[in-house]
Amino acid sequence: MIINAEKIIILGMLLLGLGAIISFFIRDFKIKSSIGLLISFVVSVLTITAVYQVSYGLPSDGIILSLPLFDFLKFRVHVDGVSAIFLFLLGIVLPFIFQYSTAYVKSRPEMKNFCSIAFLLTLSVYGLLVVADTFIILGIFWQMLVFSGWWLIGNGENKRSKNAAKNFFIWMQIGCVLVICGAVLLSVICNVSNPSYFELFDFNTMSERMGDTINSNPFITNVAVLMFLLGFGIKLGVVPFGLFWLPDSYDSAPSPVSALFSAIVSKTGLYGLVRTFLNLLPENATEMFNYQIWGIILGSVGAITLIVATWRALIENEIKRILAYSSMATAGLILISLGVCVSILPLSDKASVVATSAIIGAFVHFINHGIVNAILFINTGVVLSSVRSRVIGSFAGLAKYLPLSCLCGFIASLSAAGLPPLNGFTGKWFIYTSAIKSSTNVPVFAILSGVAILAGIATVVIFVKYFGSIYLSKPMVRSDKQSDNVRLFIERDYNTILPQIGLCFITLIFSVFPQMLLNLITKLLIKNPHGFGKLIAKGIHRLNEYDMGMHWGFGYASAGVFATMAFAYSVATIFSKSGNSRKISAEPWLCGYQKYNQYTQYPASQLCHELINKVKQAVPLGFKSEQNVEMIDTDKDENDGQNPIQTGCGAGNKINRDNDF
Amino acid sequence: MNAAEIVIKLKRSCNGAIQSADICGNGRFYIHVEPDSLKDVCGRIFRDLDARFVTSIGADEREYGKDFLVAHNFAFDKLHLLCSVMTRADSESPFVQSISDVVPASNWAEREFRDLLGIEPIGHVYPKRLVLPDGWPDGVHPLRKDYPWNKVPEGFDETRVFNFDEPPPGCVVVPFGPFHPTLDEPAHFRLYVEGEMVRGCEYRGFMVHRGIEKLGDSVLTYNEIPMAAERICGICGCVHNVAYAQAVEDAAGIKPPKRAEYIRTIMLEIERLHSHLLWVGLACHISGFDTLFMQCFRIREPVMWIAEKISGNRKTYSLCVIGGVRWEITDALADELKAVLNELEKSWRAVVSAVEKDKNIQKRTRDVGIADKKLIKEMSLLGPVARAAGAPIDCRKDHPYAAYADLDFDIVTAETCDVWGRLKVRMYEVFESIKIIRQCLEKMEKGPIQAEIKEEIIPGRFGMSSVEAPRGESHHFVITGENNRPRRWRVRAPTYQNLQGVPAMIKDSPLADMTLALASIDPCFSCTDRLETVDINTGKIKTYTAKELEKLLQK
Repeated sequence: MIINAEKIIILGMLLLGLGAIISFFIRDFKIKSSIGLLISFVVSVLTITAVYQVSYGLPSDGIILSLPLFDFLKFRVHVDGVSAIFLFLLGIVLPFIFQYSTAYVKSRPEMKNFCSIAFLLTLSVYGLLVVADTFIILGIFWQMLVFSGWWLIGNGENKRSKNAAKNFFIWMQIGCVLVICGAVLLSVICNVSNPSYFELFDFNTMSERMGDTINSNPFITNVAVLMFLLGFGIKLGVVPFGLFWLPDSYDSAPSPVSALFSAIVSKTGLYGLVRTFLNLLPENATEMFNYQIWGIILGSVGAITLIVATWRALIENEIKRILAYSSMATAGLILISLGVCVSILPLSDKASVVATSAIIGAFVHFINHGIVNAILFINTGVVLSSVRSRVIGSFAGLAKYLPLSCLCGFIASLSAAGLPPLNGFTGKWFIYTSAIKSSTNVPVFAILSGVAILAGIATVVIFVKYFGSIYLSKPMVRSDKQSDNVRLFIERDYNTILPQIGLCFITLIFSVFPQMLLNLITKLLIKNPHGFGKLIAKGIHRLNEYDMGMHWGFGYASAGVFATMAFAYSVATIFSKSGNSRKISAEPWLCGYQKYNQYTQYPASQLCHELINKVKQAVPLGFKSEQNVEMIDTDKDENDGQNPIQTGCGAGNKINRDNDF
Repeated sequence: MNAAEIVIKLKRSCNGAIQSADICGNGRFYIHVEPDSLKDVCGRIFRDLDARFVTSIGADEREYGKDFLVAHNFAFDKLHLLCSVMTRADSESPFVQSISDVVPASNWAEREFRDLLGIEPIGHVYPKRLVLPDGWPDGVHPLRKDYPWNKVPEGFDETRVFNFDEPPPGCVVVPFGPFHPTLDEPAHFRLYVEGEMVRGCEYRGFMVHRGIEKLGDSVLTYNEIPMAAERICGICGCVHNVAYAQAVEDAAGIKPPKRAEYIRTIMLEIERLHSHLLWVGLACHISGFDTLFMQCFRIREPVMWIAEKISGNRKTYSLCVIGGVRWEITDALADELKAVLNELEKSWRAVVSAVEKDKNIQKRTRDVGIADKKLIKEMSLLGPVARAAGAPIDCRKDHPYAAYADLDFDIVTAETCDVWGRLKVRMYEVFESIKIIRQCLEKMEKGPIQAEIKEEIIPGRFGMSSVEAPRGESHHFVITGENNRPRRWRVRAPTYQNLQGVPAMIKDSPLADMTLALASIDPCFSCTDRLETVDINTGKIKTYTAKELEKLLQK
């Protein structure tokens, strides 16, 4: 019996379903969580095995199954390169998120079914990723995802959960309808004699006959592609649709679910888009289908998402929403990269290499960001369960209480900010360079790459804000009822720490050896035979012919940087210890009079305040943030528009100018 | 309109409020009002008659069979009149009506007599401690006559913390001072900053208050006080010296000889020269133009030398005695002074043209620290700050003293209301000062430099004097007394008023402009606090603990 990737994944999915059922019936919390952990670990091992099977094995056409009672309902399970990339990330983060969830659920009796529902959610994601069906089975898995997600969000941490869950539900259904309608539309216009369900709705057969479909009916095809774009875009959380559900859902969902959502669930939308644009459409139909325009549309949607999400993250004051917006921004950046790839891939040999490096960058960034976001959401979960407030600036200096979380949060923030030598930089590097290079073919991408780089800078600010406001400065909690607000516990539950450390370890491995990830992704992309996949495979073979910054030694540069830093640090340490030098630490200097207290600490809400104000004035549309209670309206007109004069003391002390004579 | 007309007008508008009025011939008048209508009268003087608030004085006159005295001084600049509105406060539990809501400029002055004399201004808009240190116990008022000058009060608590206001929502506190690179002297601004915009501030100064007024009315004598007064400020010491002498002369009716008045004028202008040169240099330094800072100090040096040749000191001239001056300007010194002025005028023209054409300085100083005419009026701001806003307030013209009435000079004004305007005003005033000194040297006639004082100074008389210091009007108020010393001597330095305008100047401007806006009023906290620093060069550094310092103080 040949053990191929599909069989392994199906085994994993069966295990997940089994786990969902078992954990639903088990009452004992300890057994339940150990079973959950065990199953997720086994599934993860299976998944990663399958991914390596795909990358080293021969290309397959998948296996065709049918449901026992409904014979006509045949569908194909197919794990090819693109699925494998998404599965790889899922396999990495899954056990860690489940481990964290055991710690999370322990203190919340209302979430006793968390484990089984989370298994269902994961199962549905697996289904979406590996089943090449586009109608009923897709719909079933999608509905499974929507309902389990709805349950998970609705049982979240705060009162807004119900509303957020409702929004999530509605928008996911809209997305589902759009996608399925698109698929039906494509099937309706095809001219297959005596079609069976399988022939009509199987993705691979659909993709094979796409050339004819486009030639016979280009308009309908474009409409269908637009529907796919909208449907999957809603799921990915592009602006404006993402704003309606994504931040609220991530914010109200339990932290492990947020991690799962951000790392994988919403990225199934990206999977759909990749499938649509790189696999569904044929490589040789450039006259009938304008790839360039579609690429520009993708890139523009990505750029708008990037700008808006980055801006919202910049002005946001709640830590979880900051992460939600930054997650959206990452999706935007990946979309830009996908747009670059789609619009220039068919142009020329050199362009196809640039396009290939763009898509490699997109996937590298996707995987890194998935891992890092999982760390950050777990991290936030730990913070939120330590401090009851979610607003930045109401607490600070948690490094003292959560030292390990602080370290993990630091690594994750650096990586998410895209700072070298951490792995967040690798993907961004490919995306930036390819976007800039593509502008010789498509000038619009010059603007989009500029947007991407500017947003990259803003991302640094966002994560300085995130990390600095939570962990740095003197420990304090800014609240009236201090005793009520603090429940600082000192990382006593290893289930909250081990997942972070584990994921950080993986992050560091990918940082030091980025070529590990690059090699895996290039190997997987070669195993993607449909549509543009062939061109990408060719482009990968040609990568070395053109200067794409992937010379020999590229993969070791990062390790070299780490080695240099380690060397410099040890030299500095040796010098600082020599000569009987003492280590002195002092309180911040407050000019010798003020006491160091909550008012003299600089809160993160003030970062970039001036820039934000200027933009708010310049853009009258006004991205109003209802959460920003701390912002005060500076343009408030006192009588006759003049600023009240202040006397030589006291802020609120105005002069009474209405004297009676 | 003259003083009599003003009094008649006030009598008409405030029914029965005015008990009596004292109109002196020299442009001063004193109005005694009913305590209940103090606010009414002051409001009418400040608003209807458009007078400028000068200062408030509280005095403990219980020893002399009277109550507490409270006086609010106003200046009618265009009419060349100084006016004092006086009232009495009960000797057991003294209180007066607060005028701070109709006369915002009186905010500090009222808090000062509240702290030092315990006269409660009822209805004050911001009744917080101003002068006394944080640890000083409540209910102890050092300027009362029954409080010894050298006593540390019981219950002085070093650890007591000042009760600051809460910052407005969305703002953080950025402390500025007392130890801050741009401050040469200690004062504390608690800035409320949103992002990097200053939205407000609270001031806590008077950290070096040494009670020089207390010394003046309990230890020193009439002719010793000028030396102490000179040491109120390190930059405009001579101003206080002259102002005090003139206030006593005003009270006692002594007329100094003509030559003494000319010498006073010359020395005041020499002081103005060095101060303006110093400040322009510092403004350049703060805005990052260090070359010009050095040049200003180079040009300033000969002025210091000629001052040393005349008085024996670079800075503390010890010029005045009551009724005259101590130093004669000989013909040789006059010639040398002329040479210094010529050289100064030449090199200063170069500096002025360099600054005027320098776009960097303009960009840094324009629209920074705006103090418009309205603020000038409300807070009674003075000197270059007022003149840069087009308000020609200058005591040399408004209330001529010494020899200024005989001299021909212009008031330099600007209209920009910002730091750039202040810079221009002070740069061009240098030329006016040179003009004044030259005229003095020409018009000065030979003669005695001290008046002979034959009679004892009669106690209980009031005298006031305004002298235009480089940074604005210095006002001294004296009540003559027994034992060859005044009963009460009140000093109001220009920074005292100008500093009250700073919160409005820096409001809604970037934090980085704060230093420049503050420096533009040329703050002199010693003047404001009336303090003396003692500099002992032992060459040995010893760190004192708080306890040791306290012991030293009690010795």
